[in-house]
Amino acid sequence: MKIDIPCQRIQMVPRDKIQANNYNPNHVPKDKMELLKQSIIDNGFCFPIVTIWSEEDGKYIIIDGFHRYTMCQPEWLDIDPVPVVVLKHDISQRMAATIQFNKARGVHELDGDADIVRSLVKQGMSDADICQHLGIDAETELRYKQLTGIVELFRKVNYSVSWSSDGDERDGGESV
Amino acid sequence: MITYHPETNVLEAARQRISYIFDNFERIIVSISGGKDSTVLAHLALVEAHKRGRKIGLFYLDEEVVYQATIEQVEYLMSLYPENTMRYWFQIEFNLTNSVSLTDGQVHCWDPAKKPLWMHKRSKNNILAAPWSHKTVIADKNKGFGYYDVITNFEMNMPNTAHLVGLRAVESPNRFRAVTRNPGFKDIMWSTKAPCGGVSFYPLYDWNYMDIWKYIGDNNIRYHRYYDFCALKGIHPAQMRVSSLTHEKAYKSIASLPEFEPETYEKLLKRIKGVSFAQETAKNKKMFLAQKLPKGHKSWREYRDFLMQTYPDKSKLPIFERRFRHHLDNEFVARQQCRQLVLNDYENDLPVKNTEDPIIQKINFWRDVL
Repeated sequence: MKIDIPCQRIQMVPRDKIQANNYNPNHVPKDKMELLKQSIIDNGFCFPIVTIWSEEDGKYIIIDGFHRYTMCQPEWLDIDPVPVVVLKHDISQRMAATIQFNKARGVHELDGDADIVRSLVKQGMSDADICQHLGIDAETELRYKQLTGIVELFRKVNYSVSWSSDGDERDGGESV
Repeated sequence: MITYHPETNVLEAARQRISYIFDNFERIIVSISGGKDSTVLAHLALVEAHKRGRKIGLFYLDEEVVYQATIEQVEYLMSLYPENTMRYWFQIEFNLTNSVSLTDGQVHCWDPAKKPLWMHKRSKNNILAAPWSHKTVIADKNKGFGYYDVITNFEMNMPNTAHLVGLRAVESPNRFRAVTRNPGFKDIMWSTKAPCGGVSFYPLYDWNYMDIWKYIGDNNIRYHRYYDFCALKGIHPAQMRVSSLTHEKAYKSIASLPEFEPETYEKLLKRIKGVSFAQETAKNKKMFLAQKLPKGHKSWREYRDFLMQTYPDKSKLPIFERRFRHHLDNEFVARQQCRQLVLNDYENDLPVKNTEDPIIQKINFWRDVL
């Protein structure tokens, strides 16, 4: 199969010539937006916005990369012009592509994330830096650092007092 | 009435209880699940068996569709005191509920036809065919030979046996009171009768979860990794449960599976239908929880009718039709019917509470008052 490689044809277009689509169901929560911002600061703008050209609107309509496009706005990182690739998709191809771009991705194994955090700690990165660059809050970082497991939480408690029941439910039920 | 015994803590009490069972029964079998409670119970019983130079059975009913961590935990318990352990690890064929598929409502575990897709391996050390000689008892023909049928038939085959179960009262006080209303053995309130002269005992009935974790920590016992995963996720220790990957609430455990055991999730995708959808929508109020009406439907009744019309399995549809015919016609009932339909619950594992709509009742009450 011959695979097209649109990312070889990146164009720089003015920010105000780009427009969101009206069907994208993807929602990125605030903390992940902050992480995206940090990612662009740390790594640069690595992935162009995927668009189609709409003759009717005279605009590039976004298929994928709405949140990267948001990052280009003045209230975030103020990037203009913006790198885009332009596909020749009809509306149903566009919708399918949006879903494909949003959903074809992995889930991080929790242990794997925790391993990375612990390894960064060992490399001497500060807690604040870890939080900032991985886009996690202090509590999440603490949880990742907890190597001990649940059992350590209860090592120091005392065993509770035993009880017995005579099978009569008329009272005492509440104290169970 | 409940009486507290300040002079005896739950550990001492449980040891006395287990010792009492050893004094009174020749054959003792502990039911294990891989979870923390049965881990503690099995350990206590094995220590006593070791002390007395006796053998006890460890019974594990392997549903095939389980966490890898469960298998590891069961294997660990089986090998703790091999000279004191009889291995009752069942890997026989039976039917499980699959609530996440509309077309495959049941999983037939250890199905020979599905051998290349089995979630984990069968072992020659385990019990691979029904070992009893009596005619197999089946409680519900609709369901076929199911989980509880295996247990019943196993117990029927083990006369005069003490079955030790890790049920704790704080976990479900109602269930505990229900099962202990009549003692199953002499005056022991923490026991119930089992088939063929057998008795089920609940020696940990008064333990709380902190006691469980203290015992595990003090004795350095291995435990199911899922609990550490839950701790990392911030789930309260009292809420942590290693639950099944297949029964009527399995969509909840499937939600976190790709993160906890990616390889098990990959296998599950191939083994049973409906997993991918369940994984994505498990926490959505509009889907399996049926707490919120999907947009496009004006009422639960209309949504129910729509689900009935589009229900794909014509052989199962009459089961729902017969059941719903006896129900009241209101939104409260219709919402529960929707839940049964999306969970494909033809087995009626989550029965519909067939009552007047409590909200309407409340409105009428205030209308009368005002």
